[in-house]
Amino acid sequence: MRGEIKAVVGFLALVGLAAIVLAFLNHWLLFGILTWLMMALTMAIGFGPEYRRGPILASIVGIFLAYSALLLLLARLDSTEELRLILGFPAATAILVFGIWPIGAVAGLLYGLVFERSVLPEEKLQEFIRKFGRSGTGR
Amino acid sequence: MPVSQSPTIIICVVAYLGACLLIGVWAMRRTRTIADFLVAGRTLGPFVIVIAAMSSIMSGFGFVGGPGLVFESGTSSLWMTFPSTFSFALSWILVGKRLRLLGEVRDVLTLPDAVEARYGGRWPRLMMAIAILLGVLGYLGTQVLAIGMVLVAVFGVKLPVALMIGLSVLAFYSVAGGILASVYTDLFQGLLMMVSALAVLYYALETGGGMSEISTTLWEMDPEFIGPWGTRGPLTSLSWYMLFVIGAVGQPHAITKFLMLRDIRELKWGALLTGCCYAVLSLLWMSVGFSMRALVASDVQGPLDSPDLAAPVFLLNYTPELLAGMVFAGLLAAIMSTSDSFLNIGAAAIVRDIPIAWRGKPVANQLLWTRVVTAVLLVASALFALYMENLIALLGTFGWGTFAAAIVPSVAIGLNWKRATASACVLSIGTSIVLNFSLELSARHGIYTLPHGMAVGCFSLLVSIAVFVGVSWFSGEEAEEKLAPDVKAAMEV
Repeated sequence: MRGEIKAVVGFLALVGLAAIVLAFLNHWLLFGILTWLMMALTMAIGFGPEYRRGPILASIVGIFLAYSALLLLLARLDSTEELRLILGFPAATAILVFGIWPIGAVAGLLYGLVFERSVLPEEKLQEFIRKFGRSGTGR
Repeated sequence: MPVSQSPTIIICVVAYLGACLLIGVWAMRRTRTIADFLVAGRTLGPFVIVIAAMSSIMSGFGFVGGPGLVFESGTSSLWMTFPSTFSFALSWILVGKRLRLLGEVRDVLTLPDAVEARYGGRWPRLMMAIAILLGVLGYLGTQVLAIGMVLVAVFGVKLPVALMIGLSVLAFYSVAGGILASVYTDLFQGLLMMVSALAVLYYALETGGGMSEISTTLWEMDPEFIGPWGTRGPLTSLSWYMLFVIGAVGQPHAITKFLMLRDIRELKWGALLTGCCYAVLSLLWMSVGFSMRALVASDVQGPLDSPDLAAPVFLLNYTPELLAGMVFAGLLAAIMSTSDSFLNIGAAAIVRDIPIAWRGKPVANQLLWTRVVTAVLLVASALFALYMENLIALLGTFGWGTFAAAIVPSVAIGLNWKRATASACVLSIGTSIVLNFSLELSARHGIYTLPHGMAVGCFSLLVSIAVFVGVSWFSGEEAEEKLAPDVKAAMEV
């Protein structure tokens, strides 16, 4: 379990270095996809070993895939030839405003939904307070 | 800066300043210890934390610079504000629980306290305090200058007088009431900003003839401007996105709010709520910039002397006086809410963090000296703002990126990875300071700029993460065994 977090952290650093190389080569699309990958990896680090639980892992992978798909769609729709508006914005900009912007809220929603079971189980918190607590976190 | 001369606007701003003073008086009566001053005695509820975290991140840059950047380079700058829906969640996921648990077992009132508890030794604390202090000095200078500029526009007085008015109020509530005054003014200020943002969105769309009309006008002017990347191009936009989404986890003025939470269970919905509240503020950032640019493109509005005038000119010319007054107060709120947070962490770095790192103990009578240093920092930043504008601009740019590159590896990753080492922490913080400062300085003097518009802060963040992970990887075999049992337990819950 310890090794897994180590592997995720190591992978994060490698992805970061790859992102620098891609930026210097101006491969912006791949740079963008690595950005979403880094976001997914940092989420996994934050959830710790719990990230392997079905709903969390599925959500992290889902967020990464959804962001990547939106970026590819945005790149495909990006055009200076013809103006096609979606809800008042040019089509590609609409993907940013109505897709990439709101989809980030899924991470906050996930955190709230799995909070008691995976982020801070009551029994773990009580054990921590019993052993080390001073001011009564569990109020 | 245009001058309002409207009694309604002046009344709104005076009422706002008066409310801040009243909150200061209230908080002063409740601030008795250094823990009260720095972390509000760990008594804050979730709603206060949500709004305070949101409003400390939304600074004057967001309310003035954001619309200005949209006015100047179109959609590009939205890649700075749109990460917020995800970035706040990431802060909660990576550091919310860990920092609050650490505060439970140790006397953790500041991030350098947390770093020392995590890694041991004085160097991590010292380096973290220096990084925070450098970032704070730059940020505070820009915020103080912005307070002066807004009050010049409202009262029509000279800059030194405007600074004196604004900073007196800020000094009073920050010095007297500490973080308690700061978070409750943040609460008031945050709510004011959200109402203002929604109202301004309505007027921005109405003035521009609706979003479709605005988009069409901007498209005819320059299709790239309203395209998904704006005029700065995809790599700049995406590197801003990376810097603001992951770098937000390293902003000390936001994440130290976790230390103030009364009950750790109340973290639960904070991530979602903060992201959503900030999204409301982003509406002002986006709508005013696009609308003003469309008005200028269609010759309804004359050209602006500076992109940063987009928001003030829009408010004065295209919104009812009462709303303009509210938004000017909201604008002042955005700036002051960030400033008070910086004053608090800057004073803590000087009075608590550096002395502990240097000689193993804080100064005697921390509460008194923190108040004194808060006032001194404010005066120093006012002098900086008046006489060293160029330095302020440099340090202001340097702030977010330095915080991101210094704090994300050592705090956000380090609190979740037991193999991380003190030497990795020190080296990554050093890397972040050197890279950010040297690259910003060389870009400013035309010596070297990163290729294809990559953001300096993003580059520094990625290098700093690599340094931190690399050094820990090769030197951290015994790191876990060296962890104190209470800290280890806080990292395992």
